[in-house]
Amino acid sequence: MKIRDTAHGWLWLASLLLASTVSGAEEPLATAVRLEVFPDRIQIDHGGDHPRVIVVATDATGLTRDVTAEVSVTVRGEVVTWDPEGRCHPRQDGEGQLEVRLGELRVEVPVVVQDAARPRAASFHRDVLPVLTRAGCNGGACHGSAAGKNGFRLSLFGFDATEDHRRLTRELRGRRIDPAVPEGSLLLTKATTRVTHQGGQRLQEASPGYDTLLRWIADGAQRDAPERGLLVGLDVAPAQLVLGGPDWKQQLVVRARYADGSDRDVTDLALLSSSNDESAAVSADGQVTSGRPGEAYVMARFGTLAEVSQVLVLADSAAAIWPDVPELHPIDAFVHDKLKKMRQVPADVCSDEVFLRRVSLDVLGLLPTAAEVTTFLADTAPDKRASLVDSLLGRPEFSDVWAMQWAEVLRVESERLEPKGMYLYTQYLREAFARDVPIDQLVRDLLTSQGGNFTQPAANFYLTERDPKSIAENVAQVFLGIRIQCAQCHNHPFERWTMDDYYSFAAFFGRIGTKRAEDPRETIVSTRGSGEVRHARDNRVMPPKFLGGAVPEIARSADRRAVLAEWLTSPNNPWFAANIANRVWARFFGRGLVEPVDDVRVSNPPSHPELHRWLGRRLVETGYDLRALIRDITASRTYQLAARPDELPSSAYAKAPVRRLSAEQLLEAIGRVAGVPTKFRGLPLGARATQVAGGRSNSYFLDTFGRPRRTSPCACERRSEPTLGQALHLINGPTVERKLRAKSGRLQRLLASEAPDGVILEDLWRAAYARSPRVDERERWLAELAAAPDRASMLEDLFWAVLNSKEFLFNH
Amino acid sequence: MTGDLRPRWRVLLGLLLTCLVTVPLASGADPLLETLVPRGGQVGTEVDVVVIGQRLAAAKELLWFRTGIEVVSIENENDRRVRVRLRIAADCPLGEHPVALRTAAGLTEIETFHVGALPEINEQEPNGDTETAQPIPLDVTVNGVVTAEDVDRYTLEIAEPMALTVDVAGLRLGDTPFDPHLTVLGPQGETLLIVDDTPFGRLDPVGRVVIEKPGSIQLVVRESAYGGSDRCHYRLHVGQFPLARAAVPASVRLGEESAVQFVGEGSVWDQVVTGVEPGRGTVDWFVRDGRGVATSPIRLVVSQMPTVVEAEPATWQVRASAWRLAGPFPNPPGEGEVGQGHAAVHPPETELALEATYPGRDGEVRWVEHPEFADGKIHDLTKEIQPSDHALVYLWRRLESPIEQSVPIALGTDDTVKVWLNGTLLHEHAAARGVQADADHVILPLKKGSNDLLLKVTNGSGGFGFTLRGTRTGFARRSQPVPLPCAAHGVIAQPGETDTFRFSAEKDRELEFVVRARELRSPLDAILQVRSLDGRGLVANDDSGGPDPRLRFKPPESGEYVLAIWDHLRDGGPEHFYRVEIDRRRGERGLRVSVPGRPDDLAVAVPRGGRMATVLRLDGLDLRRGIRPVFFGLPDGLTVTTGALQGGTVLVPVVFSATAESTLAAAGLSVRAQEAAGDAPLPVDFLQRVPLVKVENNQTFLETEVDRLPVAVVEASPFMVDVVTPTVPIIQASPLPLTVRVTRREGFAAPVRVRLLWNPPGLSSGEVTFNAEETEKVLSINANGNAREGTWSIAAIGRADAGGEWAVSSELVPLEVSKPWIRAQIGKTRVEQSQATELEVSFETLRDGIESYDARIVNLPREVTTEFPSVAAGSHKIAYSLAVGEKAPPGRHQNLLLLCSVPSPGGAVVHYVRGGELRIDKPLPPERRKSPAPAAPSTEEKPSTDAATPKKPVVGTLTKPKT
Repeated sequence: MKIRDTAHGWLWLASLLLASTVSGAEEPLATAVRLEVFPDRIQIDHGGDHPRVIVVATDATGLTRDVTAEVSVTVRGEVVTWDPEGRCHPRQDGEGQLEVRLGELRVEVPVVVQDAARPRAASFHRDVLPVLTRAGCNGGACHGSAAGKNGFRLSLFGFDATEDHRRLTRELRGRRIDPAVPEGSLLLTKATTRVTHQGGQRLQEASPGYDTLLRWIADGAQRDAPERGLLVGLDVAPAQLVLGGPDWKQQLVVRARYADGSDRDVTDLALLSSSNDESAAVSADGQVTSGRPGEAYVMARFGTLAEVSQVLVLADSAAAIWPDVPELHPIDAFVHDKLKKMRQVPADVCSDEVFLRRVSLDVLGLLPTAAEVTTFLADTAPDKRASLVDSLLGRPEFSDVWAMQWAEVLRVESERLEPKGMYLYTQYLREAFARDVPIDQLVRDLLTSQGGNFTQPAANFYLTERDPKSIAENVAQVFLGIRIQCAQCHNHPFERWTMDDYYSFAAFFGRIGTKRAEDPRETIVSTRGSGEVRHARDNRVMPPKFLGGAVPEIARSADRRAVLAEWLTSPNNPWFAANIANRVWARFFGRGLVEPVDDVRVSNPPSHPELHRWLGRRLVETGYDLRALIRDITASRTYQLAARPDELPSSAYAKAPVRRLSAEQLLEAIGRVAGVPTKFRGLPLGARATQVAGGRSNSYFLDTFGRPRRTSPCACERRSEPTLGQALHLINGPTVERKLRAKSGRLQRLLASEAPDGVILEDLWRAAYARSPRVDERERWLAELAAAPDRASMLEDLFWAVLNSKEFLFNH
Repeated sequence: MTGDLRPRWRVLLGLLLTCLVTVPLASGADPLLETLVPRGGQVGTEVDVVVIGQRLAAAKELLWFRTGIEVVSIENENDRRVRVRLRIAADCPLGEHPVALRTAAGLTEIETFHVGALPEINEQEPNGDTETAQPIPLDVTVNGVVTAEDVDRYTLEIAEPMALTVDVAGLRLGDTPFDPHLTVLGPQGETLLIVDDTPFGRLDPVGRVVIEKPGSIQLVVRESAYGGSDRCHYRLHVGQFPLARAAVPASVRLGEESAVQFVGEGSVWDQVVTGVEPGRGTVDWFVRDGRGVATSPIRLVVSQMPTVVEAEPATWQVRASAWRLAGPFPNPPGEGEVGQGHAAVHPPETELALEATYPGRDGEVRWVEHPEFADGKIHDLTKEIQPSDHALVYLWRRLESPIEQSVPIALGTDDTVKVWLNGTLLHEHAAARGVQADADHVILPLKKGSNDLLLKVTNGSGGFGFTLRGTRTGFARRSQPVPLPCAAHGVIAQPGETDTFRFSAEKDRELEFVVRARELRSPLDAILQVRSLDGRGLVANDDSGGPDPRLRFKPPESGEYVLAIWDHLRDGGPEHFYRVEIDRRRGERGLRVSVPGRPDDLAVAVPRGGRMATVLRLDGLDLRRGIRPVFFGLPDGLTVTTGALQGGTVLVPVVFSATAESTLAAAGLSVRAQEAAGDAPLPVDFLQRVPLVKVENNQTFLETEVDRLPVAVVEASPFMVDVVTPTVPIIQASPLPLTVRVTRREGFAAPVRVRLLWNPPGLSSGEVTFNAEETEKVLSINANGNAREGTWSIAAIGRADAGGEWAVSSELVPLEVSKPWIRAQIGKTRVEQSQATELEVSFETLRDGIESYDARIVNLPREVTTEFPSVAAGSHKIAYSLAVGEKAPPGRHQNLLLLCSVPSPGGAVVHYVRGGELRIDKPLPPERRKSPAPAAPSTEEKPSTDAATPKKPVVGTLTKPKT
């Protein structure tokens, strides 16, 4: 099976190569309807500035193509010369225009040139640090690591320019820099390996980067005023590319904006990477080359900023004309927009049987019973799918599923919590979902909880983690989907979070007091009147400050956590609602619009940004009603799509994602089909896998199938990838075997009742697949059973085969 | 459980030994009582009960500590079970009844049996599902057990709407740290009540639920985390009986009728508490009304302290009207930033008339009420006054005080302010500033009745506003004065409330404050603070007495102080009651058993023809007056010897002796204290706390108390222990060998471990084990330098395993602890290997009648030799000549031990003297010796005034001999 897959892959790759030679990049674009020049305004402020200019044409179907080499360019005002490779070179000071023509289309770009004759002195902030970053000198594995390398330490990606300057020019009595003989500076001789350098050659002699460093040293290795050089923005153009097939090429332009209002081309200084090299690879100098159909984000990192450009690569199979696909719900409009762009036609709506099974698993974590199948299939009401969702949302198993999901990221587990506290905490979450407590309210309750963790189970929130810093990290990751962990030791390399942000955010949790209650197992959480969080670098007391927000005024006696909770759950918070909504979405599609759901950052943008925002707004509008959001999602055509075998990634939502049942779903499903519920230690018989409190389930099955141990707040702890252990456990493990042989089980009961084969088949198929056997299945198995010398043994094999079938193991 | 303390392996070992040695012994020494099932019974009924434990085969009787329960029959089933039939009298006190069991050879520690007023039934398994739920009537007690992962369900038919009390006693039965959980489901399966832990019931659920719809309700009992075991017994009480959880005052006086108000679930019961059993520190009161009798009592303190009950807040509270504002008045610019308005006089300053209108800056102004101006908030007047620059306003409010009192306030304004009370200017601030809370502090001398508070706030330019609040415990609340000493009782009735009491104290006279809130099962988690009158915190405490605070306070000055009490989480409610004992006398007055090192040994089993001992603790008594304990109710043939009470301890050893013919019986002894000169016992009670449930590091989590000492005469022990009375005293900082003898009955060969019953202050001792053939051994006692002088009573306890542990005592023997008779000091010296030196020791005789004594250093390094001549009486120094061998270990040999044996009529009195130093150096290598060195240490280098200077100078060394 595996081998065939690989072979198939090679075949596919070969066809791709063939196709690229045949069609290639030379394929004429259908008539261009729009012409764009990036940047849309060219400003040159010194003689050494040779900015890139690219021209992009868009055709009627939305495909974009790099036509820089094809356009005719007229320079007005003689301020610059045009280089057909896509660069402007300054000639003289003044203002002028570039007139760019492609057929009938014409664009004018204003050009301003200053100091054309004078090269600018190399700036430490603007030029030197970017060169070091680009060359990898200050990377985490090199001199940017916490301890530096070989006695030379730089701040990670240059976030601490002052310290870097000091180390370059002052440390070791300044021997890294030699202003008298600049080319003899250790900085350069090491980088070019003229002197042995363990890190290898980082710079070529006479390369632009080398020249920059050389000029800077020759000029006295000054440190320019940081405020001038303060980077305030980064643009990657074009922001979106739609490429029509493999091996299309497009140059990108990365421009940095500074606090003094200037901007410049940093394409050659920025670090470029693609989120999906298979679909769109990017070269070091910013050329994107398309590959497999799909979507990629090309990230440009410069200084402390990062920005992305979205690249869509269409399949050869792309439909030329998008058919009229109905929208069942506003959600579909967002999804269809993108599908139109990708010229992918969504699959049909799934059958009732599939919908019932899918929605039961997603909402309750359970397979529908045979009776539920019959009732639902017999229902002729036009809105029966919505009614079904309504009834499922009212069931206690729904609360169990969501309590479990939250318990996972809140780390409800016995290493950190006393067993009773752990149990009560789970119970508390379950009741909150059962009582339909709005999510923002639940989060506020958790954040402001105080009292004994037995009487006020929400207070367990502050017992899973006691360190203010770790609490802050968890709060950011779980409730906002933001990972700020990096900023504990250094400013986040490609996000906005600085160490100041980190410690100021942690300061909200600096005043949590705990004491032992009368019951020695219980802990009382309270707010103290004092307690501060200090900056790790300079030991400053950090005032509480919202992440990316203001420093709030907090009365001396007020609970800082309450102030935080208000801000965090406010509708104006850009992350909270969208993060919660995204987690809900992920439950129903197996992946979030932002994936991983707890890693929101510029460099990991949502696949459908508008939909992502819409879901967040929707959650706010409904008063943070989880059930309302689920009604929305399940009502969409996107959720109700049928599964379809093709090469397209399921992240485009053109077809139903096929997901392996989660550990709990699978164990419950096996128990249900076999008719033998699983007994969990510490819970009475009849309790479900979702009710197991804590990460240590004492169940080999649940552990094997990826139940998280809850040792971190990361959603990634739940594993869904297949393992050999899983396969072996299903094939010959005790879970399936014991359940099939149990006297009280479905098989033994059916045998005892002397039911005819047809009835048994129908019963089994409905239980496992939520459908009746197809005619071919029925005929085949009736024949097999009739011919079997030992009917009971044959039936056992049949049950076993069904429990090992893909249709059973997957939610589709 | 107390029983947990006894290592179970002893049982096995004991069995093994009996098998090997086959000694004819009655089994049942050291019996262990685990529980009684069912765990209780109804008053006025007879109940069949199984007593469960270990080594119970020869069970003979149950020993009760309260009245009302009689054993009708007792029948041994096996070593682990005894069947008894109990007759519970109709007037038997409700609640917990401590009980111990006597076998032929032993007496158990105490467990509890529970008497209730409701009819009782037993749980019937299976009852785990809704279908199998056990039907029960209303007003009933169900005796059940929660095994592992067990869920017990009961159905109850409710005919009409009613308020139902449900009370599950699980932990409180004292068996094990059981944590029951209760759910009440309505007729449609809807959840009516979930109760887990409550401060009132500790881990036990106690609650009240209003049943609105008649029908079948379900009660579900389980362990809170689905744990459980066959020791997790519970008594589920369900009915319409009252549920009171708070009491004010939570105390009663002995011999008096005390009026107490009980509160619970919104109901109030005023009851007169009577019939307090003497001898107990607390009394359990079961509130009773027309609907029945409470199933859980409220614990009240029995106390003779003066009682103060928190006055209704209205007595002290200042009521403040809403603010009224008149303005703007003009504030024309003048010199400086603030303008002329601060000094200018407008009509409201001269005559306050709330209906008047005044000419203002922008036209006519009148008083406008601003109820939104809350205390402690900053009020922005730029919103009220437009334009806000160059303006001033007057602000007025009325303060109603029920008494004449001084009330501190704090305020802040932008910019200037004047403050008048009843027309008198009390305070002004005349400079520009921004509003800052608590910028100014003013004390308002309020008269009884209405008071007018007037503020003038002027603004130059920019911000304009004010804030004001009462600073002492919220706005204008004054502390209630209380006498010293007293016990104050009250309720933290509202969230955020702080109760305060004012008292006068003398400088440096230390006071003790003890809160008893959670101890009495109040939900209050109190914090106690002593403040100065101006509100500064001086000392505070949260949890020194378990969850209850206790603290000591030494007033820095004579004067008034405030005691404040509030909830840790700023919680409050009608049931958050407390008792705070102010200036409580130190320690707890009373007698109790306190065996050092064996804190849970309470029961005393005295073998026939043998002895057993215990140690009593006498607290809060003036021991200078020759106090001794006296015992009442001794069984026939039992006699008691008490040791002499010495200063410096409150412990008294007591030895019980039984004659060989005495009747086998158990009794609860009444223990009292009596002055040597007096002929009647002092009014001091014996009160013993008995641990029932222990958790974690052997901490007592639940206890009960008894007022009598359980003693039993049991069968003869297979061995005896005797101590040979020491004929010489033990000297401080010295040892004494104590001779101990063990006598065995023929054939008894188990090892006997012997140690002292207790160690008098400053003494320590170990344990010696006597194997089968050994009859006499030495138990070494060591005195430290501070061992208390005097003659103490000591006894040895022997223990051996033989079908359970046997324990016997020796007789009490006197042991004199004495100051040293002689004094000695060891000097220092240094020497090289193969050389000789002298070590000087000074001696002094401190006692007449000593002629001479031996003194020898017993820990000289090897290869160091000397002679120790006998030391004559008097003061002198002896220089011992030390010969140091070639291989004597180099180094500093410190802490030399000088053993002096001083002869006395009773034998040698051993003195240990430690100190001094002998430093042995290695000789230097020969080449180093060539360096210039004095040929010999010259005599002028040494101040040779001392007669004891070594006569022979040490030759050939670079180091100088040291004097």
